[in-house]
Amino acid sequence: MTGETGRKRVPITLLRSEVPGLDEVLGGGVPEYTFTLIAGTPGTGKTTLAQQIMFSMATPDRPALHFTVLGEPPIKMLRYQQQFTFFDPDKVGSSVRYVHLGELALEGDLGKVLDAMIREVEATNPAIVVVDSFRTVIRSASATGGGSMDVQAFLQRLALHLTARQATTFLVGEYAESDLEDNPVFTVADGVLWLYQSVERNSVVRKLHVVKMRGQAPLPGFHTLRITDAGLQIFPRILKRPAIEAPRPAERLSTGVVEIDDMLGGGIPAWDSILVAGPSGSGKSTLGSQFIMTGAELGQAGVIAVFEERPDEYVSRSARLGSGLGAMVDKDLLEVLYLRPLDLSVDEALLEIQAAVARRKAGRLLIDSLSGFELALAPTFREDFRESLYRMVGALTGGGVTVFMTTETTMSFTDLNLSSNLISFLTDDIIIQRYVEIEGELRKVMGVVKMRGSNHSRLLREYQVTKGGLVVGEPLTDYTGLITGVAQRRVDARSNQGADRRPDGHG
Amino acid sequence: MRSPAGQTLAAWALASELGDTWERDDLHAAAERACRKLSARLAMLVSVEGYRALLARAVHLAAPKYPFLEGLKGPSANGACLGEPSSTDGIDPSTIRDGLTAVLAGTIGLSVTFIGEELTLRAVHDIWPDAPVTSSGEPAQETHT
Repeated sequence: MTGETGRKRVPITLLRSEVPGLDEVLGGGVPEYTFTLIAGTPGTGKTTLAQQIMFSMATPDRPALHFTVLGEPPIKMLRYQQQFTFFDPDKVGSSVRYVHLGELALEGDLGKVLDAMIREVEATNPAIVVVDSFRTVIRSASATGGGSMDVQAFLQRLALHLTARQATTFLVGEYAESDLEDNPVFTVADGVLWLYQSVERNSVVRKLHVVKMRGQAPLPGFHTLRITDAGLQIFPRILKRPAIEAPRPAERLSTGVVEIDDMLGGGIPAWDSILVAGPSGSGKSTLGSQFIMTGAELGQAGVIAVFEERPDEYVSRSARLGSGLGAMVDKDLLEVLYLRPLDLSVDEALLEIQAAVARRKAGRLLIDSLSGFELALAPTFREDFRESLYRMVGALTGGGVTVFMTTETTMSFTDLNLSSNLISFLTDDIIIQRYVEIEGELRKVMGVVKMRGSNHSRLLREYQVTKGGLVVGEPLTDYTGLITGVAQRRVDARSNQGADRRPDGHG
Repeated sequence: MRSPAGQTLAAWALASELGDTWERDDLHAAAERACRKLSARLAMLVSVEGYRALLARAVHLAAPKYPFLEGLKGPSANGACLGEPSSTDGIDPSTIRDGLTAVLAGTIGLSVTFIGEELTLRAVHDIWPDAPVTSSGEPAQETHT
């Protein structure tokens, strides 16, 4: 590679870890020949991450050498690690070799430990080296004075030998954040991956932070991770926007209700995000389903992310609406995602939604509802909800998806609380729905309150939620005070009783 | 994999180390050889200390039925793997054979318990390529005579 100055730079090969999300967070992969510390408190997934990387990278030509020191004995580590699907017994003994240095480490002589490691490395010529747990080597040596070598010298020589042997090394260690100060390990290491675990109420949340990675530009911030039987999956905090070559179309997408399309100035602008806010039972989900089904009738695939009920219930409830969502699912035009409640991270949800959109090549997305989404999050993520939602909407609409979201409003009859969690700023368009009292009867009205960059109707219209979907009536121009929830017929309208036509035709 | 399949495999391994003809004193030597081979291979997976722990447990489990095994102290400084049993004077050779087989079977069985059948049987196969281990991982129901 030649830079702008004409110098030839040393190429740094990035090794793919194949740990979902990790390579993206690291800026493309693990730089070859680096010395990376995987640190964190117990139970954060350090050993699993190291093993997952090792099994992924190890081949007969590029074998891995795994040193177990003090801590989890190899017999137990093998027992538990083989529960993960990445564990490949065929690689054990050939591509992956385990060496136990516990006895030597107990003696506390770092010189002997280093000699043993170098001996094994020279005999095996590994491309990948893992030392687990590295902290215990240092701790044991510190307790005995280090024997023939101090910690700093041990680290320098180990790093030098392993790099010179062209090994990419991972040191696994239990460290607390307070250990970061004045600790030579963190200075010598080329990369530091810090794993965190926090417990709040009934949820456990794990996160990864790339503290440093020399020669790379890792994604900043804390990235959620989940440990499943497939190992670790990292959810990068910043979503990549799919490359869209086409310019944003001038097209408008129908909601499936002509009158609402008219109120929106001809439909929802393609690639917009729209929020429908209303109280419980106001028909938000029905309108959302109509929006998705209208797309399907035009051959446009959709995705629905639900949080409050299971997909089969959601789909069966829609059966009354035309052909229903079930028919769309059967035709592969719809995927209904049910995202795990209560310990969800926004990034995890975003990736799942984005993956479903990509799978279906969906142009329409319904998130039903943001209130349920927020409730499904682990408490620790709720603080970041708005910021995360902002990123998600940007990534999806930027990728050519029109996003339809619903949210439940808390309303009183004298106050219009559009959005309890102040999320209205992040959408392009907003429709509000609310109950009003008209002449002693509870009725529903809706209006468009915001459309970014285009004109829209400013009229409030009554509507009903029927078996066939939303039926919208004429504008309620004969009333005042609708926004307060208690409407009064205008004096000059009282002589014109016929103008008050309800959407179901009753008057 | 714990008995009877492990028992069959251990009996096969012991018989394999023993050869076609054997004397009473050869039994312990054959078991010692089998133990060392298992140790060398399994310790690569579970560490030397891990293998010692498995062996000690296997002896402990087999000793109530075969009291002469109580003398087995496991690996010693002179390189022994099993160590010397208590006096076997007056004990029928077939009982000695069964006791030593029980220790080897127990060690293999415990290895299966902890690190799984696949890794353990692969190790056994590496030591004794002709051992009657079928592709399904179960030892064939036959003995080496």
